[in-house]
Amino acid sequence: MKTRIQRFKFLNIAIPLVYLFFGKQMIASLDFVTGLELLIIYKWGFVFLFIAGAAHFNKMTEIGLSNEVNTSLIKLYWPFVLLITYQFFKIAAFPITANGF
Amino acid sequence: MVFKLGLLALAVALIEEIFFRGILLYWFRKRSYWQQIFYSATIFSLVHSLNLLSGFDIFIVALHLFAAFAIGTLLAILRLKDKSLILVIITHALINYSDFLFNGARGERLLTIPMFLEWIVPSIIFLAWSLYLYRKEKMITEPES
Repeated sequence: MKTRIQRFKFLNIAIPLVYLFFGKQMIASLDFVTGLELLIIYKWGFVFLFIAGAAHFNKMTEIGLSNEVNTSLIKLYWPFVLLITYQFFKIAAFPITANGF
Repeated sequence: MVFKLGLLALAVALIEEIFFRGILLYWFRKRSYWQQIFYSATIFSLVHSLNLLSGFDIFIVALHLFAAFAIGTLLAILRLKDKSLILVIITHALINYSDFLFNGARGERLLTIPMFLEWIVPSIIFLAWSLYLYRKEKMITEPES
């Protein structure tokens, strides 16, 4: 006999999929945000769904959300530090315009 | 606008890291390290092919795919060395943020030689560093038997 949690297990796939395809339209239909704000709220909704799902299924540790950070590994990130530094230096050469972001 | 782009960059990084370096690596945990890394990076790269829908030149999309594969490979290796996602999330958010500000401000849709070099050189460095880390450094997260 299936427990209630087993019976509704399909929801852990169904809810993110429904949100992926229809979430933006659902938020837009509320008519309180548009454009970039709508995109930000939609993305943060996804973050909330993932974290709530991980907490509900007790997988926070398995997927690395509640583990202690090993700061001694920061030195291994040097290629990313170089890239990010380069990008920010280049931003000074291409100021943000009203037409762009 | 700059603050809003920061919020967007952080949200995108959280979503992608939780899914690609959290959930996917957990799903593939019984496979070997190189399989975990390859599958995670390949799926991460293929998702970036959706950029075609944003009106980018096909060569830019191909370059995005290669760069996403290189970034995905290195982030997956770094995640397997650490039990936490926090450092990879912060790194990914900063990359997104600088990319939104820099490439978003330029708004280029066609591939140019400087743009090609700006993508290809870091990608090769990421892949070379990934290879070094994979061969030399020990993973902390052990695969399940």
